[in-house]
Amino acid sequence: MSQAVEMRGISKQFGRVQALDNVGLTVESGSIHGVVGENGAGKSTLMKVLYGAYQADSGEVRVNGKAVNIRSSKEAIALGIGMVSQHYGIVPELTLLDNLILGAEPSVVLDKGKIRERASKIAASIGLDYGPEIWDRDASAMSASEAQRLEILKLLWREAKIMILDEPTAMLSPKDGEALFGSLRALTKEGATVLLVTHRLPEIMEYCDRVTVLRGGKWIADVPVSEANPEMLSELIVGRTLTASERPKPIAPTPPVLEVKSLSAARDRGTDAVQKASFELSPGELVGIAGVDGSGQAELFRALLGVTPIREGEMLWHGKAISNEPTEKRIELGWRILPEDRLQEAIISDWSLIENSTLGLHRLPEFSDGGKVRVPERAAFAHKAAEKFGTKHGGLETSIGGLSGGNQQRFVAARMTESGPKLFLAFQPSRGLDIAATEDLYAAMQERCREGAAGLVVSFDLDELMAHCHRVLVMFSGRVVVPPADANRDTLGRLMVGGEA
Amino acid sequence: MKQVVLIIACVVAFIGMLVLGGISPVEAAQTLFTGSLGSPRAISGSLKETTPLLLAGLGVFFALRAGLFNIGIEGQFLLGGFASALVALAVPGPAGLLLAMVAGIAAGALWALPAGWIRAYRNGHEVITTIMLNSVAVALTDFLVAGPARAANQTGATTATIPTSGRLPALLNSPPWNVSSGLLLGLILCGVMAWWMKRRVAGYELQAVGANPSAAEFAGINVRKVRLNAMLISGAIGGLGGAIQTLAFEGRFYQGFSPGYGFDSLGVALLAGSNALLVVPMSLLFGVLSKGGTSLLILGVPKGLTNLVAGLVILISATIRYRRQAQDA
Amino acid sequence: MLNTVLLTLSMATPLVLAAMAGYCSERSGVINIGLEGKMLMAACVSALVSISHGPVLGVLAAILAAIIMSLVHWLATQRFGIDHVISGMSLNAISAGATNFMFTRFSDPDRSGRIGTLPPLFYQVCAIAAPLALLVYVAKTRGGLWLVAAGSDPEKARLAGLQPDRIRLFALIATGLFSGLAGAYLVADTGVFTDNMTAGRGYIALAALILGGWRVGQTALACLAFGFLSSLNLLFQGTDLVGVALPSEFWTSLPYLATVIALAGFLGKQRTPAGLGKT
Repeated sequence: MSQAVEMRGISKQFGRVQALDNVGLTVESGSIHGVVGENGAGKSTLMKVLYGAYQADSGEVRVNGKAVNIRSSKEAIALGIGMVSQHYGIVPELTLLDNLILGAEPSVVLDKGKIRERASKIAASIGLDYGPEIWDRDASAMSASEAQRLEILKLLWREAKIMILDEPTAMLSPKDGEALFGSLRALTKEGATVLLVTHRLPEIMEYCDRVTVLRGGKWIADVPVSEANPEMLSELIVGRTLTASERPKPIAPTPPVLEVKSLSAARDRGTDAVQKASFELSPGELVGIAGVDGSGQAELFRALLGVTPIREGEMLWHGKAISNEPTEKRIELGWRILPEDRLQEAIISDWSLIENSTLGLHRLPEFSDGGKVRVPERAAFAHKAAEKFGTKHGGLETSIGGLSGGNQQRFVAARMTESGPKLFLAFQPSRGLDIAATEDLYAAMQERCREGAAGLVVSFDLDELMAHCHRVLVMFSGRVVVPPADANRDTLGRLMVGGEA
Repeated sequence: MKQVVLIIACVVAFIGMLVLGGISPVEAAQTLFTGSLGSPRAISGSLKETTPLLLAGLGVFFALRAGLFNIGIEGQFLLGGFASALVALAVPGPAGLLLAMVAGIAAGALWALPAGWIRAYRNGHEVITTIMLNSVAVALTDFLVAGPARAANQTGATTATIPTSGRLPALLNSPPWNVSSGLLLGLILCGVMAWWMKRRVAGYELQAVGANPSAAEFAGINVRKVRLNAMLISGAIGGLGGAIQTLAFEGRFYQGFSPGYGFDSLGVALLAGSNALLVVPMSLLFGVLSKGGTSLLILGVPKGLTNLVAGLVILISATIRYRRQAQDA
Repeated sequence: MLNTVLLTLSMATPLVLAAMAGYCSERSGVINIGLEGKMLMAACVSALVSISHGPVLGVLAAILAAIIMSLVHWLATQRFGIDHVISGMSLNAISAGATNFMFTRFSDPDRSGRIGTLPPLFYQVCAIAAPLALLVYVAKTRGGLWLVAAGSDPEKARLAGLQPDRIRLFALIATGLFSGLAGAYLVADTGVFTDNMTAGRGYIALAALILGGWRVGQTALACLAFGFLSSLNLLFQGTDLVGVALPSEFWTSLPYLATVIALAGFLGKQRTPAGLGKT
């Protein structure tokens, strides 16, 4: 068996971050090869190097035995390498057929009849019966799995022999996932090679021939799946804690203040980003949500705050239904949020620190008096918020956009903790912060909890959550998993990648 | 600082056009100056031109702060002017004056309602709807004033003239000075708006929606409601502008009531940027140019020149400030 | 009857051409409020150049002028990131001012009689050929596919290897071509140039584009409908219809009212190109 792809000694640095450090990858032709790791492991980066989107700082790449230097996606395609990304590159107002050929049209004048013929033949090769009516359908109405399949057909149209799929089952139901892999198997039988980038253990165990594990930008292991088991793999993926760090003890259960029941939200192409989430928060608890990025955490927060409507399920606050209340009402009740996208959702960059300090809080009695802005109180709060975590700034009247990301984060985090929260939702609170600031922030959050608040923290860093939270939930593929009470790091790590508890 | 650069660019463009047309810039500058600022009568005339621009400018400014382009100020102005004329003619005296102003405000808001609703709840770009409604406003008022609303003893398309008792009094009326209280109303409104933007929670929310609709949503602000209200208030101000034009200056409504204040007021609002108080000097600038431009007609300089310069100024101003606004939330 | 048909075609011709101009632009993702200004500039230029250099050069100059305005719009929106609406409105104002200036300054007041132009038939043929050509272009060529892709989702188009910037450049050149023809027709039809000759036709063409759901066939139909309305207006002036003297303003307002209703969603779902205004 020849090797379709061989990568050796690949390193790539972005600024101060070493995304890849001397990584190697060997893929046999005609196989389905998994590339697995959690956030920041480097798997997407490695594939982008192969696909020509990035240039490696060092190392070499061989395709079908020949050394190559891939500088663009065009060159990659010419070598027969194609990639299907998570965010489908499908143009909504075109038909399926148009989307198929966009960018790879056979000629200037398009003979749609002949194109349809070839397209149907290609579809048939992976077991799809696509007649002309299907090809002329509007692409905007496609379901996630149909879009996925079209992406693969696009690769086949371009005669790709080596196909990279990045998290292909992210938005697919289990049944659709199975169908997808059926198609992939059919392709490998014809000689194609599939590189599967994923963090999902079940897929690897079920469908891959070999798997390469990356962690923190480094190569960890390369094993045939037949010789692997889930426990061993998840350990390799998530790693072991080197030191036993002190964990906050779970608090004694008290009646919950927040009850989330079977909440589904954020439907996109037929699948919900949040699926039947159920969990409870009690006052005094700081609860973490672990999980790989893209498992639905951001959508969950948006649904909780009321920015995105809920499709089904309900939320209770102190026993009363709250799903239909507007965001403003929840803020009034004491809810605070540190959103996922700071620039887009948390601040107004052109505005001053003072003006930003009460964004979201501006209607509270502390800051407004019968429709009037309480200017001195707002200025005092801005001062407090800036002091709390040591935000470095050039004056409270200057625009927040001029601050560095880390300083913006400090300010916005303080806005959340210093505004008397009863419930706070923090998304990746430590992003951009050094260790000292992170500790300060978690200390503040814990103090709020001791005073009776409840907190929900999303982080992609499992260790951070384990060190600071009373409890850790896991989110995987849109579902919230409540781990057993005695779950240790290995268990949580397994749950994060879709394994069993 | 940027405003200064723009004004210089404006002047340079003006001079350029004059030279192209074979007119001596010096002579033109002199005529412009004397025509607009060279005498009490000229100054009064400039202030008279400034007033509608000030009000329409405030209206556009208000909507702009919420992220909306109310090009429809023209139509709202017309309808306000028309409605106030009808009411003032129907109800004489000071009581009628007050009612007429209210009618103007209401008419303007009403005319802005469809565009506001469509933008807030259907996300249809308000520019297109307001442009369309402008044309309808012109057609509607033209028709009404040529027919049903026409003054009995007139052959031209105009309403009857409102007697002085039902009109806005002059602020300063010792010839050759003649400044209307309408200007004062505009200045007061400007001050109120500036205060409202800085000191009221509603003003805070409006500007948040204009600056970053996503962040506004996360801050619990009802973006749709804010957008609708912004258009309504903007239209109301435009209507007030039309009412003042009728009640202070024209004394009646007629075909050709508005020589296109709409676009100029867009320029005024864009130049004012984020500060409501700047609407005053900017409208004054356009007012002076407009009044001076009339005197330039004698020199053979076509009226269109000021239009052209206004367009250039806006284009340049936009390069500096108004980067692409993608439609969001 | 024949009178009505001829009148309709005559009124519809500049609308169709202008609407096709708008189609090219908006389909590629560039909002174009500036049709009015381009048409007006083209009309003025065609009049001035036809007088001094003959009809053929007149048309070519008109088209060139419109293309230049279009290119300014492209520069402003794609390279300087200026809001599409502001750019369009500014260009309209600049055009109104400039044409007024050029016309009063450069035309000979003693001159009378028709300006020598190409026969109106030429333009009417263009008005029929343009939509057909665009239909074929979009459906059957690679370029047409790229056009729609750029206006639908420029980001995804880029992922597929397209260059939306360049696509829009060519689209806007086409816009200049068609709006140039539209403006030149106005002069060819009447034989003179008058101040502000376009009288809102650019906006009506935009209305037709919106009512037509940004599709060539339906847009052309909307233009015919509007042309018909205008002809009705002329024919029925003074006479009673349905027992009531419907004022001419009613007919002239109808296209605008219809557009507003369409935008409110009362005439079915709006099919705006998703990438309008985006990069």
